[in-house]
Amino acid sequence: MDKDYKPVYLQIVEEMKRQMVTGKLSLGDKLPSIRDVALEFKVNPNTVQRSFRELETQELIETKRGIGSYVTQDQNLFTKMREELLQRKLRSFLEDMKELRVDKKELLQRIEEEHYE
Amino acid sequence: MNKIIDLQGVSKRYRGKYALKDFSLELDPGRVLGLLGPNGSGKTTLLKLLAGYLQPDQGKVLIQGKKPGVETKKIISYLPDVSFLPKNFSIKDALDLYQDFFQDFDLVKARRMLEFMELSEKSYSSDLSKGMLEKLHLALILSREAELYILDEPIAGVDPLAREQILAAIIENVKEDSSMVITSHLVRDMEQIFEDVVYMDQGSILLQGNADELRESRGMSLDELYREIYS
Amino acid sequence: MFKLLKYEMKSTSKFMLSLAVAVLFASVMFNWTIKNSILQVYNSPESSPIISTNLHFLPIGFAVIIAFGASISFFFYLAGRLNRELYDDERYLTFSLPLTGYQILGAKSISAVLWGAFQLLSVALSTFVFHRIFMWDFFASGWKEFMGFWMGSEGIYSLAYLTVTILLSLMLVYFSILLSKVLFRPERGRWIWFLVLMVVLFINNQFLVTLSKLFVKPLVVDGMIWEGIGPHLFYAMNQRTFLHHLLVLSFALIYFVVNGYLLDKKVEL
Repeated sequence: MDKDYKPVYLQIVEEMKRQMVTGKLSLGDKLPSIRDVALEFKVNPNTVQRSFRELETQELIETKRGIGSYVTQDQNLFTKMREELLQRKLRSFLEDMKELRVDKKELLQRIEEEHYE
Repeated sequence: MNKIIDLQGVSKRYRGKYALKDFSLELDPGRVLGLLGPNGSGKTTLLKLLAGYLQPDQGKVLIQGKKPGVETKKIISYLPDVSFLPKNFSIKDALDLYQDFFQDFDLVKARRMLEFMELSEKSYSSDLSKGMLEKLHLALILSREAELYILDEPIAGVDPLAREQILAAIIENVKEDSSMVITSHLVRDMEQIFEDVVYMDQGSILLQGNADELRESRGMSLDELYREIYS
Repeated sequence: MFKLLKYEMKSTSKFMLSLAVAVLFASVMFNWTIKNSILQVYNSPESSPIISTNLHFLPIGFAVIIAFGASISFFFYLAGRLNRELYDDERYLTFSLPLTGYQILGAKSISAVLWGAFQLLSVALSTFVFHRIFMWDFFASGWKEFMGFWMGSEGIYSLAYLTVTILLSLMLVYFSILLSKVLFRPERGRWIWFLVLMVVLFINNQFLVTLSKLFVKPLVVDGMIWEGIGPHLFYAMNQRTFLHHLLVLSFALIYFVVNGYLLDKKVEL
């Protein structure tokens, strides 16, 4: 089985996106410094720098020289990102369910039983 | 434009055997290189050649285009895998020595690091535990504004808490204008810091490349790759 | 390099001060034991002013042993120190310092000479003080002459020669240690240096004496010229000339240069 091993910098990008979607990082928030992120994840600061650049390319953050990096103010982008993440997770979940041969009826029933709010 | 490290066809014998055989390696400045391999693969010999503790039998060792000597010692900060301070030294004695002989030594930084690691200047090196000693050594080595840091097994044989502190100290020390060569058995703890890696065995290079590229192309972590290579 | 000298002197200070104290103690003891005999001889009008050697053979012999022992400890200590810096783990620190072998050797040499001078001066001073207090009448003229000698040109020249001798001895010891380090495996090299020293001393003396004979005034006794003199006789007789002293200095410098080379290029950790 071929494990899709993502480069570290992309993993950090994913993690930062997750934090934005879960609300840990809200619109317009200041990002922790590259140094702090490097220390938190125990990675090379250069790697973090690359992640930040990637996030900038995706227009999810804005770097103001000398001041720091800030999460975008653009709500649409956020929503779009949430949508992407949601879709990915949902698809993955549904595939797992299919593997376990859970049909649609059972699936909906189980979700109901879980009292998901 | 000078490579910080340039080894050309270096061979070194030790007790009749080849510790390094026709070994060539280049490192661009500003990179963090992980040197991986089992005991006896030639890692320590390589580091000693870089630091100028050994002379090559054949080939050239160049640090910024210069042969190891007084000039290269000024820009290299080397962390040995043994306790290198004299037994009767206090931490203050060590600070004084480094301050006196290394122009690039940052006393303020050293003191800050020692405080962070909860080490007192009055302690004698013979009083310290292995973990505390390792932290002291690292504080001294990293407080130099060197162009090349060579760390030989910085977290080996050290308790997990000290390991965390040491890793944090190393990460904080990664700078644009300096390079690092780090050897480690504990690949899993350190691999996220490496930008380039070299896997060695019996004095030669088995595999080398960019850390991220290797991970992607092999579809596994450097640690898993290590296990695969050496089994 | 002055930083290195300061460091070297400070690191060796504990031993050197202890040695000075020990030697001082011995010299005071020595002076004390001869004090009574001297005063007795000096004050009684009947006895001859010449001190009977029988009475004082033991203390003088003792003094020679102390002096010899002190010199041996001095050099052995410095040898042991270099050995530690070459074989113990601290070698990684020593050789990481951006210093040339010559700077290291220079600092060690100057430190040794200064501490050596310190030892000699402290003994001389303590003896002087003792004599001044207890036996001045007997020793006053002797001391005047002694001081006069050392202030004069001959005295200064002798001082220079003494310094060169200390230097050469140190260089020979260091040479043996460095040679052992370069030639032998670490475990063996560390202890074999003493044997190497014996060999080096022997060969060195052969060279030195042979070459010195070129600069020596021929010894003429009873109209006969002495040709084949052995090393011990050679040093005993005052036939050495300025050129010979220069030769000794050259030897010391040559060893210094060779040692520096070994330290820089040949010593492997």
